[in-house]
Amino acid sequence: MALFDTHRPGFNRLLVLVVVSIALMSLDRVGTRWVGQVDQGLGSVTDGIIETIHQPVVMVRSIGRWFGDRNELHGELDRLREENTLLRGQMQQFVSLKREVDELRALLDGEASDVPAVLLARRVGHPPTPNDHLFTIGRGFGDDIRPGDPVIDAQGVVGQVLRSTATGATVIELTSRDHMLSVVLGESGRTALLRGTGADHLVAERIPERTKVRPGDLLTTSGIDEAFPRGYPVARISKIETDEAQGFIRLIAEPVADLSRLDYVLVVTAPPDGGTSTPSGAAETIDRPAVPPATDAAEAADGD
Amino acid sequence: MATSWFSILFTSLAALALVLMPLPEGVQVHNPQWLLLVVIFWSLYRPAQAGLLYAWVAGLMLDVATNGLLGLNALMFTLTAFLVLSLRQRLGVAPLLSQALLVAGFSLLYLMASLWVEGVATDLASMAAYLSRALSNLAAWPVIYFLLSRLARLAER
Repeated sequence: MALFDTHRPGFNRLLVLVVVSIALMSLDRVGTRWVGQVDQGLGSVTDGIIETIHQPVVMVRSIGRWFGDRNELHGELDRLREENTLLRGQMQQFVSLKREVDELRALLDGEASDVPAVLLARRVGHPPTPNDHLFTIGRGFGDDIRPGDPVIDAQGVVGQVLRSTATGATVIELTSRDHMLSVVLGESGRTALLRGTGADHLVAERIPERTKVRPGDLLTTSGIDEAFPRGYPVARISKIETDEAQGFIRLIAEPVADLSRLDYVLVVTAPPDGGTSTPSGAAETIDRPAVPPATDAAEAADGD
Repeated sequence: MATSWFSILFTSLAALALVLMPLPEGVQVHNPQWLLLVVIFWSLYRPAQAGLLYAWVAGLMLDVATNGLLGLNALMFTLTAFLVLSLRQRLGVAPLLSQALLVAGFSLLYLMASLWVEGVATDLASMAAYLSRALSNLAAWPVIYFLLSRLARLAER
């Protein structure tokens, strides 16, 4: 029966599919919008699959929790409660400090420091590509996650959202070869571009030789790239390589975030001084203050 | 006919899930290309239902799932399916071992082409690790063959 029909495929169909594939590849490379939409639509299916195959892991973990030692759990609970109280206490201080900073900034250049909105998301899987540092999280488009949103963990910057679909989102880690961000070098105030290498470290090249940096210095986001809000810790300098002939140094840095054991991450959905508010923010610093004096005065009065 | 469509769709999704399963880094490289094997199987044994378009869609789904260049795997899947469909009458009656060897050969071509396009591995060791997936495909083909032919027979009963 079926074996004796040739079912030899037509060349026309092959050629059409080949041309369509090549067109799709070039449009994707260029970054056409509707290709992105196709990617997002189909990605909802694949992210759903990733989410589904992650379910057994969740189940095993919750069963394991059932059998966990009771005393251990209570110890954990106490520890977390203490930590929570501590953090809340520090938070109070932070709120008053923020108010002070806002007042001072309003006097200086009229820039307000909003606290960004963050969203807790669980890591559900990673795509099977050996060289790309990508992973999938269980929150998506419905939770206001957009491509380009910064992703952080408790220690520092993790990466950025690459694609957001109905069932999840893909995050690119800052150590990926395709990722780059702008950082402030320690206390020197100088900014540099920090590039992922595909390995576990980051590289900042072409830093002028006289920049005062030491191994162990913390690199924080500068906010210039409009992708990350200012001031998040990114990495620590582990090595400084000099290139005497060129007059530049090259910094090797290790990310502060624990990228090897990510379980939960925070997505900054509304970056205050990056992303959406930036175009107006850039104008504000030059011409007019961003914070209207009335509200600022009200806030100050509220503080007193 | 309807059951056959269903089984093709179901097995393709299951294969995609197997490909996407999170594995430790060392094992990930040796995970067989389940989706490719399933596409090859259906092109061999149900060519009326699973043609070039099916292979193209499967490849596109893989592209989307892995965040790769959109259309790359789709192109490769189509070309592989074309190769398999043209050799179908010889390949369909071949003994399992030579079938598996040929399938591994196809996937080796596939891997070399994608290696060339992506340019991911430059040194010989990582190139060899990348191409060694063809060996795991060789091992996985009998599994796919037995499971899917059993399923196809069940679905058509």
